[in-house]
Amino acid sequence: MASDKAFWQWIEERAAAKAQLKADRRKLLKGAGAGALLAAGSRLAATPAVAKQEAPRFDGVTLRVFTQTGPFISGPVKFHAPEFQEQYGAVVEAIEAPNADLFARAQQVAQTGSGDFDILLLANTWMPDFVNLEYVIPLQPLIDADMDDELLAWDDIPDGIKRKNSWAGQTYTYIVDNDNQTMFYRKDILSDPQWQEAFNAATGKDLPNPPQTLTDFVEVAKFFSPNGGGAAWSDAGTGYGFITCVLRGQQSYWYSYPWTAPYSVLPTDVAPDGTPGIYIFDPDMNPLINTEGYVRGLTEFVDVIQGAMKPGLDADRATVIEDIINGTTLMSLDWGDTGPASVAERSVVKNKLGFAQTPGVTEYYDWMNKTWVTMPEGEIHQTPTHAYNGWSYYITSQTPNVEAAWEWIKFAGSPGISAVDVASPDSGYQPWRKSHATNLEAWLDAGWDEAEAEAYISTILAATDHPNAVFDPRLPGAARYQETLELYTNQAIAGALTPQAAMDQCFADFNSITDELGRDDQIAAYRAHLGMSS
Amino acid sequence: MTTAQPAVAVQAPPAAAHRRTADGNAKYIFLLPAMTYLLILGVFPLLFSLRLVFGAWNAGQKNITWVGLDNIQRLLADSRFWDSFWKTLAFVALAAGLELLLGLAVALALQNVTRGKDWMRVAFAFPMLLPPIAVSFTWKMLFDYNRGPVNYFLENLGLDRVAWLAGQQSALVSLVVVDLWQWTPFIVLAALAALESLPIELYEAATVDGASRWDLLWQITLPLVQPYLVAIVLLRAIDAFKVFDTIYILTGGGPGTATEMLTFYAYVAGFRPFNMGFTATISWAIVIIMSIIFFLFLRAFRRLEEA
Repeated sequence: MASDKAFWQWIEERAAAKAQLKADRRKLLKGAGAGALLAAGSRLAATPAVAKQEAPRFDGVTLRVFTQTGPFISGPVKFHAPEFQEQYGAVVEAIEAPNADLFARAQQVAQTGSGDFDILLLANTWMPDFVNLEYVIPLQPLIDADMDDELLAWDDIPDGIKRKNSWAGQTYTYIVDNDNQTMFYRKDILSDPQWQEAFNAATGKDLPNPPQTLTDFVEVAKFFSPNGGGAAWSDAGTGYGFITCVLRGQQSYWYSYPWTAPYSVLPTDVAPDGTPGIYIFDPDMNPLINTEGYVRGLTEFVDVIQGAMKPGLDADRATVIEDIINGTTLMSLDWGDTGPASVAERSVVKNKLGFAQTPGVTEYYDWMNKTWVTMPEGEIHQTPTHAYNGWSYYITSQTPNVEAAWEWIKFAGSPGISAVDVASPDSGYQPWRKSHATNLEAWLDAGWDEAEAEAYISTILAATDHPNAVFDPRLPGAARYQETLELYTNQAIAGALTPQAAMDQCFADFNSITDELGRDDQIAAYRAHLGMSS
Repeated sequence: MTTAQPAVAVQAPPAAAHRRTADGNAKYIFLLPAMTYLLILGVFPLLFSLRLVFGAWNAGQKNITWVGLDNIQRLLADSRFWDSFWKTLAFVALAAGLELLLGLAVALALQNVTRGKDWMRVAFAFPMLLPPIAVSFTWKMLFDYNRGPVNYFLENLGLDRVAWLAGQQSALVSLVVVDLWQWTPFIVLAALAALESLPIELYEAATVDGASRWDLLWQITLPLVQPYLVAIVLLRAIDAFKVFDTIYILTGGGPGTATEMLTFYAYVAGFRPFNMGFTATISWAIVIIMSIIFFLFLRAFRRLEEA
């Protein structure tokens, strides 16, 4: 925008115009699944027709959306763009870059103030870096003006998603994904009496279905692996109990979150100021990654990799999904993509997968008092982790087409279209709206069984609004911290360093980064991420 | 007797002088696009990167701030940088050295082949013509621990499977193997061209004098092709020093930092998290290190030649 004043004036004018517009869009895009048709060559369903006279027109406008190379993230953008052009007149172009280069390229554009992009569809965790550069505009005024808009359907968005959309009390992003991590397990095997008996004979314990704690998870995973004696469970060859991404540079450190968070994150009710999800840093930016709790989680992660995962240490993210759906691995803790992949044609686990929250712990480390706390009998401390926090739309401050950009975002994230996208195995978006749990037609079209779809969606949405939900830290320089954490996590996985030594070195590097970026500024930013007062 | 010639001031006609001036200007005009291209794409980035060496330009930071020698001090004290430096040296020495030996051996074997040599040249060129990314992805599948053909054959031979991409040493070996596969043909073709340019008369004379094939190789062939080989190896070493694509696809610099070479370290430390001052410092360090190493290499070669 040319200036703040012009922007706010435009918002006021737009709100007034909205008040005049009595268009009822209830039937627009509501229940897109009802009109969903399987498009040739893609399982992304066609967008339902929109009443043309009610949509604002942006003929001659081209919106450039910067996002990750297809198909999973940019695919839905490209797929729905023709429909948007037909209804609104604006052309939507996806400009793509590989995941590893997204941040650097976006930063380059942001820092030079280039007008290359109108919209970003990028990581939620990079929000502070864009906000500090004033490269993205606050979306709250746009949301306020459209609070009653059926496309926005504000009340349909869970609080957890709204929290992730905001930073420092202001909403800057519009999430169209839900990057939380859940457990995928073979419920047919864990409920099989033959395997329950075998597990009991080997361990003297009942086979948990599914495992509730990390300790149980490790035990089950090891049992169903060649060294545990239960590897014959798989019809597809040698079975393994667990799979995770271990290859460096392949988002591997995010896979350690479900292991380290439960031991190192305080329950919200005992955390400072009742703040949920204080993870990796305490509120004063002191790293928590070499505390006893974090290191114990990392140690168990390394242990389960060594004892229950296929050898070779060369699994990347695609392998994690593939080994679950090809029936060679029993369990994973992963983003939700395995769900839609489980109904793909090549999958042998259709209707055989169970979905649950990531396991918890019976004791956690209280980093404030430097002591271990045991949970009351029968209670488990769970901390569902959000990694990357979800693919998020931003509107750049450089675009002259704010209104068209906002209309695209509402269109792409509308209940109907988003329901189609999250159900498709060809998209990388996970359910994030409340209505995704009830609008199941697209799921059935994609090959899901209704009960399975409900279980999958409800698990993901429960993680979103969990009281102890842990969000990926949104800090200036987040990519540097991530790169550092990945390096040392990988050192521990590879056996080059012990988990404690790796995290001690990471601790020192984290402090160097924080000092370099300005400790006070980082503390303020981190507190803004947590929603704490400075 | 001399006859004084009247001094004649030879003056070019005004039109010709004008033409010369125009010609003089024209050459500058023709040079202008190339100069502009060089300035924009060569000189400016070079100077800008030099400016970054003394500056901090981080994510979320709008302007470049002057930090003096901070980046250089940080680099010199950075154990990860030195670690990647030694790994790079090991990789270059292994890759370029083995490629030289293999390439020269194959070239010598092909030297006297008379039929189908052109076809062989084309066949040898294939690996070089393939994009490194495609080559790396193919080798990633070949090296897969559980499903890769390499381990399948090892197992059928009664050998243990190897964690090609996951071992601290085997990952580096894997990178060398890929480099050997792709770039040994370059040495073969270049060395073959050098061998074919050697004068046949020397061989004929030596054979008449009773030289064995071994003598021919050690006394004639190798001394004569040595200058060519030095140039070829230098080119390969420079290229190997800059290896990136293979690491990016195969190992991501891991496991841990086992395959983190200098160029890859510059990428992960600077480009990925947008820490441009430090990455510019690493890049300049790479240029300086390469220049010093190759200067020393050439000087050592010249001394050897003189001796």
